[in-house]
Amino acid sequence: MKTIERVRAVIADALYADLDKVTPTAILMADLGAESIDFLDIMFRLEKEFNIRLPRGEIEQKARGRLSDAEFAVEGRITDAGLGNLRAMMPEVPAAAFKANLHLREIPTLFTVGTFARMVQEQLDLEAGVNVSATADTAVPLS
Amino acid sequence: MTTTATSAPNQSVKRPQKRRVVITGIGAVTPLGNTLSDTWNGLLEGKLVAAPIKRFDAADYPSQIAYEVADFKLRRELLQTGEEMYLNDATSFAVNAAAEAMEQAQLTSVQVDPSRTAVCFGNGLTCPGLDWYSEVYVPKKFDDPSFTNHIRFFADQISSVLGRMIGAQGGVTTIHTACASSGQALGEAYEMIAYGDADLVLTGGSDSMINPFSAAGFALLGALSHRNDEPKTASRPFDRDRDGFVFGEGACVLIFEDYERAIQRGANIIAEVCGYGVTESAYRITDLHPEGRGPIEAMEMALNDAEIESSAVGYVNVHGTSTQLNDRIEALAIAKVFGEYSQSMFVSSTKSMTGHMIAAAGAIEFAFCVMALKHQLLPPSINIFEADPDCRISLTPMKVTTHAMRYALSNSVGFGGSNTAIIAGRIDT
Amino acid sequence: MSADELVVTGLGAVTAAAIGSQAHWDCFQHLGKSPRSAEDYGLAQFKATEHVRDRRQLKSVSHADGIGLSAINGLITDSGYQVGYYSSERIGVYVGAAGATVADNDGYMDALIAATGPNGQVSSPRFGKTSTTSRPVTLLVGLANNVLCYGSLLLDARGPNSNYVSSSTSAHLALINAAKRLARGQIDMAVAGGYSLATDPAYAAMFKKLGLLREEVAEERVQDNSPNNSPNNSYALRPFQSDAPAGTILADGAAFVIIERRAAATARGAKVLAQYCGGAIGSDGLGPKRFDPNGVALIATITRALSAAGISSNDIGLVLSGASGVKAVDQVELRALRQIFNYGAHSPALAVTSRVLGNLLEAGGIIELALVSELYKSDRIPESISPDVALAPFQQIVNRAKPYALVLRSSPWGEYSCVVVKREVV
Repeated sequence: MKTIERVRAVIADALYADLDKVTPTAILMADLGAESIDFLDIMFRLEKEFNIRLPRGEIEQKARGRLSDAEFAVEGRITDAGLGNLRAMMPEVPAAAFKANLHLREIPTLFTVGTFARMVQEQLDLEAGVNVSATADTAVPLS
Repeated sequence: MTTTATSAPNQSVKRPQKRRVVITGIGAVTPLGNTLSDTWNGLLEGKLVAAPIKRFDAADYPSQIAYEVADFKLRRELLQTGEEMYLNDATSFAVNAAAEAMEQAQLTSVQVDPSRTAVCFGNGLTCPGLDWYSEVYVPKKFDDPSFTNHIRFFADQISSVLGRMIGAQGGVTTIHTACASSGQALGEAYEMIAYGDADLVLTGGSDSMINPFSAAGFALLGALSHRNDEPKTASRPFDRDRDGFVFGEGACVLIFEDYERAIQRGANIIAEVCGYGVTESAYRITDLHPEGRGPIEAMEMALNDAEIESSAVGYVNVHGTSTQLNDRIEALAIAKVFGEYSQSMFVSSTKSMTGHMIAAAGAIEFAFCVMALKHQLLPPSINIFEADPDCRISLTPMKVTTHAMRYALSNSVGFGGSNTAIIAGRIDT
Repeated sequence: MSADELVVTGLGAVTAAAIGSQAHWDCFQHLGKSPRSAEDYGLAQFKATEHVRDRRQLKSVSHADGIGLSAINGLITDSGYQVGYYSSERIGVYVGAAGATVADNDGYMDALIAATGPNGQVSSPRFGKTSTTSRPVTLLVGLANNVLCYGSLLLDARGPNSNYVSSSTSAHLALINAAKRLARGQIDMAVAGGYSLATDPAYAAMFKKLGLLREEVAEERVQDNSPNNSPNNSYALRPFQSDAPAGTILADGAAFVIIERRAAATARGAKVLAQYCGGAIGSDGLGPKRFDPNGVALIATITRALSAAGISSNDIGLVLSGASGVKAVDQVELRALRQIFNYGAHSPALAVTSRVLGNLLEAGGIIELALVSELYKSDRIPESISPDVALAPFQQIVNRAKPYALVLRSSPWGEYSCVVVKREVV
């Protein structure tokens, strides 16, 4: 089975969503009702499914690239340069989603099913088991 | 043919008159001290006791630090024969705290009608250690003698012991709504008296989640601080670089009483309980509503119940766990109710000094509000190196400060969406 | 009839005996599945996915939570409730909760087994490592207030709420506190009830050691080797019987009702099952597992409930007693009831559901509410819920001239609750 199909099945399982709604372009939070904890669960399930270790916080790190903190975001809002990098990082996300003044913590609202498929594929291609710390992309609140 | 309404007709039920509710005793066992006064003094000093976990071998856990109760000695002389089997590490704290509260309230059985005395307690969920599971449970040794006292891990047992201590025949209630448990217990205790169901209620909470299961579970959620090398500054609510909460543990017990009866028996009244609000966020299991809807509605409900304006409140002890999201959303909610950077109302999270006492948090933090009112002192904000500019609230100064105030409010926010706000009022003496 | 009267307008119930309101009544009437072994009171094989409309609600909950949420889903259907009828902030959800166990959580148990060496010794630091590969939601699965949370989401309920972990009186605490808030005008509607989970063998083992469990059943349950539906009738829970083996049998299950004001219930076209008239709680204050054999606190509890309802014991035509099968507790119940009814000749009818349903612990005392009006309509108490032996001074025929019923709960920890309801004449 192709990576995307396996990723779709994992996400459908994690969110108890119907497989036909879990299309490659479906946005996890807006279309599939995911919340921050679901991202952790999906990452966990993908790691088991593909027997890989997915780096956490990678998208933001890579999007920062050579930009300094201030060049990437001001008071938490991502700059145009930062948005450009993000867009390049996530070609599977429609360009319209990268709205001006996007907050750092809103990055997960961009994630589509395709985003996870791409992350998995990149990791599979790397074919390396890098040991990474378990910090998540999304801060999980605690009461 | 009958037609059915799609929205409920307007219903106006007159709310009955409330009785005044006062606090006549408080006891506490916390990481800051094994009595309320030691705890309060530690708080004013900004004492920081967080350290590597001693309760179990926490090497190799993502988070290895906690605020632990030290030098605790259960007052066994207060227990009846055989009663200790119903207690665990966390609920033992409650026995001492209850004794302290009852002593302070000068309770003797003659003065209180047992049928009008109740217990309403917010308790944590505990479990046996790893060894027990691997040696007894997993190998299915269900005839093991250890099952005799397995009951000690059930949340309602401490309430029953406390009920015996105070001779409660008016009912024993145990509440668990995660981190809002004892906030909720206090609120329900207050309502029992305010609406005439009881004259005296022993209330409060106890908890310890400093165990391998909780340490693993919260770490998996990414909720615990990773500052293992700097435990004392790891719990830093409202600091820009906060990275999660740090476990605390302990118990706090309060005696709530009908004002008239307290006066009649010449009790020493510490403060009044003026209002209670409780809501469900009904948003997500862990995510807070992005605008802080639930806590806002709880605070507004408490202010309405107390029949005061928000400007009358001088101090808010927030839930403030030191996770990025909780503190930001809670600050948003407070700014909405009290205005941004209020100059008359100051905010602090005392979890920088107690750690997160989970089910006991609401009770100890309300007790801090009561003490703040009594002494007209603002507890210091500790571990703020750079205040988070996203949190648009006035934090209390870093050193203890006097502040004239009539009311103080304590907030709790629980996993699962329960929010409570409870207001203490100064008693004119 | 007053518009402000509180009425019960729906029952969602999931037990090993039946699922749904009507199915429970049918079961009681026709001796349905008469439980003959401890497993017959369990719901180990229950599939919440078949009963919860939004399956996403089940992604990080325990088996017990699934049972509770299934009952709330059933309740919404049974009551014909349309979400949005009441404003969110005026709806309260009050739950009697089963608590949660580490053992009922694969995330913890798998990590524990992985951290256990060949000698059977577990290493705490190793558990620190093995647990990092458990499901991230492991802790959430173990929350004891998941049913409150997801039930509130389902109903869009944002009002006052609570979650009681108070053993056998939990569901009544939920109901009584919800009703008080309704009566004070703090809310307009509430969902109240509870759920229990006894499937964890540690529960049975513990109850056995405490001398509260029916011994034969304990053996059978613990060794887990008994055939289902054994024809040996002596395995069923038989409360109030001096010749029957003493002890309770724990049951899985959940039961929730909707409680609201009559005017609004009528306006939405809801069928009223019974009128809620008042309730009270009480305790012996003697500590765990110690109770007053004279039942003074239980008598006081019943008296307070009658007074809250504004009636006297002479208005009671029917009593539904908790009757867990723990002999000493059952005797306290009987003694208190006999005293309340003054050992008189016109005493009410007595019914107990525990033989059919088992000891529903935190879920108990709710299904009874929906049973009251049916029992007033029938000629006599169905055999399945009638104590085997005629118990003086109680009757098997409901006196229709006395329209009020008492529902009683008591726990081995000396804690009691009592609710008064009035039958609905249709």
